[in-house]
Amino acid sequence: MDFGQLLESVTQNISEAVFRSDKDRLIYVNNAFVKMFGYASADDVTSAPIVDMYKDPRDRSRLIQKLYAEQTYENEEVRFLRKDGSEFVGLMSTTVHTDEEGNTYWDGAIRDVTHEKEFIDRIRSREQLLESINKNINEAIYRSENANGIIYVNDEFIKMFGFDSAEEVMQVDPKDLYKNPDQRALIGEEVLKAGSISNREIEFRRRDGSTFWGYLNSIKIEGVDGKMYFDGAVRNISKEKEAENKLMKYAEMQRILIDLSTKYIDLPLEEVGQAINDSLKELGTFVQADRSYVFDFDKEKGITNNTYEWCAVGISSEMERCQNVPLAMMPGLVNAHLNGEPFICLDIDKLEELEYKRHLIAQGIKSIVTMPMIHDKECVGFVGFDWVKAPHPSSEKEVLLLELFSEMLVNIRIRSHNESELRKLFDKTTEQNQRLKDFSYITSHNFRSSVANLVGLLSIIEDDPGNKEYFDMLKATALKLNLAIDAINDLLNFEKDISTLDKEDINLLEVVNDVIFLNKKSAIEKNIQFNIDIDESLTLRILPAYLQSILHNLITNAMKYGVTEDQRKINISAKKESKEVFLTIADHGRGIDLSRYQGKMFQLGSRFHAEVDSGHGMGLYMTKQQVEAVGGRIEVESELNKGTKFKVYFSAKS
Amino acid sequence: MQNLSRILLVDDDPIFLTLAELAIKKDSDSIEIFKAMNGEEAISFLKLNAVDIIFLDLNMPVMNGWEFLDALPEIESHDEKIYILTSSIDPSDQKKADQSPLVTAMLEKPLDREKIAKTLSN
Repeated sequence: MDFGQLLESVTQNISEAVFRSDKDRLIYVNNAFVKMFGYASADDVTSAPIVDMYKDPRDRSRLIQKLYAEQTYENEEVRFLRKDGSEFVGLMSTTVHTDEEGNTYWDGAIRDVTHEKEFIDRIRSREQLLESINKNINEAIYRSENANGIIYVNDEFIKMFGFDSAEEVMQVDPKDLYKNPDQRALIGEEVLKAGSISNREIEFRRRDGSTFWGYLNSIKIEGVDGKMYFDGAVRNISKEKEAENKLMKYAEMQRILIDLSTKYIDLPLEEVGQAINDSLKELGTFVQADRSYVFDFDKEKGITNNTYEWCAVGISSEMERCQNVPLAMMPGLVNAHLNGEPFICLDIDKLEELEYKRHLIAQGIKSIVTMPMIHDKECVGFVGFDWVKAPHPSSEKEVLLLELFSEMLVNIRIRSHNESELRKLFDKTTEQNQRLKDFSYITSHNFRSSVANLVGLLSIIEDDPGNKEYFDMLKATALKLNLAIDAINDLLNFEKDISTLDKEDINLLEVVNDVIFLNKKSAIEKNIQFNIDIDESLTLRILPAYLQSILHNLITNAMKYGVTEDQRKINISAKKESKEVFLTIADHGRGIDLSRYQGKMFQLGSRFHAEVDSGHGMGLYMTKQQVEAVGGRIEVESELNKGTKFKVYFSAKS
Repeated sequence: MQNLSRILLVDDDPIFLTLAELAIKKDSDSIEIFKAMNGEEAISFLKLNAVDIIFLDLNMPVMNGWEFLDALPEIESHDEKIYILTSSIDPSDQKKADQSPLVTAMLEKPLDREKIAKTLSN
């Protein structure tokens, strides 16, 4: 085998440049060398100075030094110059050889690595870029694989999820990074199906268990190695989310405020109760209170009462406990509210009023905020919130809501008061109107019957002028007409005076004796016996004219209808019973069949006895009106042939 | 006219009763007059007696005119004519009278010869 020929063939055919040189010049180069360095022929190369082939001559010196020291070197990167002056990068390996004659040669090979180097540089630069991106952006970036879970995370990922290193991240089950672990599988399926998802709002979980909201972008990707990867980025949007929640909360608050301020304006009064309960629920829910309520002050009694209440689910009602609560127990709240200020105690433990503190703690209250209801510069009660499950941190919007709510309630109160006043006035007017109608009917009847009699009598007297009997009838009719007119005057005065007269302290026994004295003549004629049982110290605070009129009517009634041949006794008694003075006037006369006349007893125009002088049907009507005008009431008991008893209750002097 | 001979006056006013009796008797001696002071007396009377005409006042003690009209069907049926005679005609009373099958007409006091002649000729 001719090794020399084989060697020659190999060296001439390989793509590496092969050479032999001594320390001054090139002795041999192969074809690849000629081509690599851009020369015309091997002779052209060997006649050129070696130093011209280096871009930097210091490279040559350095390599020669290395050869002297180590006899060989491998893959040294060198920038060479071609014949035309262009440069390329080559990897050169050289070994020192010494032949039998003692001559030293340097044999070497050069590989042109210009293209390889460019490729590697490009990759390096990309790696650098990726690293720089990963370090500088504030999105968490990851790559995960179905079988192995997370296989890559950037620094932000480690930070965002609260880990110390990428290794730690890769050790956890990826589904634990979600607040709801089941969500991961769902997201994975979706990405697998759709290829990608973008800006999905997800609540993630940090290593310490805390959670945050993030946007997740993820894409399914086939790697160069043919495996399926899921690459993703998470952006923390907690701040945005918080701002958005705040905004929504403000919008909600705005809506509640507008709702509150319009709801009550035209609300029919009978729907107010329901509306207040609805508002309490809405407000309480909004501020996450456990109770919301309305309290009314009763300043005269020095107490406050819980009038409306809403309780959150699972919170006990305290309405019963909160009745007749003494205002003296809560000077802090009361003083604040009297000055129109809110009462805020977010930490009940710090409340200094011990009794009130016990009262609140008994209701489980941890925080309380209340606002006064101010009507006409006066505090008439308050509205408020309790927090039971946990203390409440703030009071700003709570106060704002309560303030508006209390204003609305006060407005309603004013309206309700006005409407009930109007209603009262209307009822009074209607009643008065009806009374006047009844009255005009009776009087007109009374007048007309007398006038008709007068006309009739005058025409008979014309025919028979000397008849004494007719003349007496004429006189009696005229007197009756006169009485009817007196009765009208009484009634008109009654309607007029009712509001203008003054009350006085009146001794009841004195008035009874006065009335009897005035009717002495008739009493003596009928031989009537009065039994009076009234403590002489008993006094009433009353309109004197009314008391006189009431007693006159009842006593003369008893004298007219309550006396028979056998029974001539009239009992008058009075006694004080708690807050009332209870007066009875009882006769033992013919009585009245109450089963028949019960409803008519005190009606205008009612008469019960078939006597000639049985009156105008006004006496008991007037009596009842007068009793009621002084705030009393009148009742009657009667039995046929047994007698009649009137019972009058006056409110006692306070 | 001659066969109408019995009249019942129901009124609590004795002067009216006297005047009415005089006025009726002035024109006809053959007419028999009965008087009752209220509805109850009238009912008691009618339980035992029949009349041809009743002049009925409305506003009376014990039993008023309307109560009398309510109680009347409970006693034996009669074919007498009933005239309500009142001092003033209230529209609501007029309406009530129109609706009552027992009432022939409503008249206003005083009861003069003209009104008597008219009722007797009916």
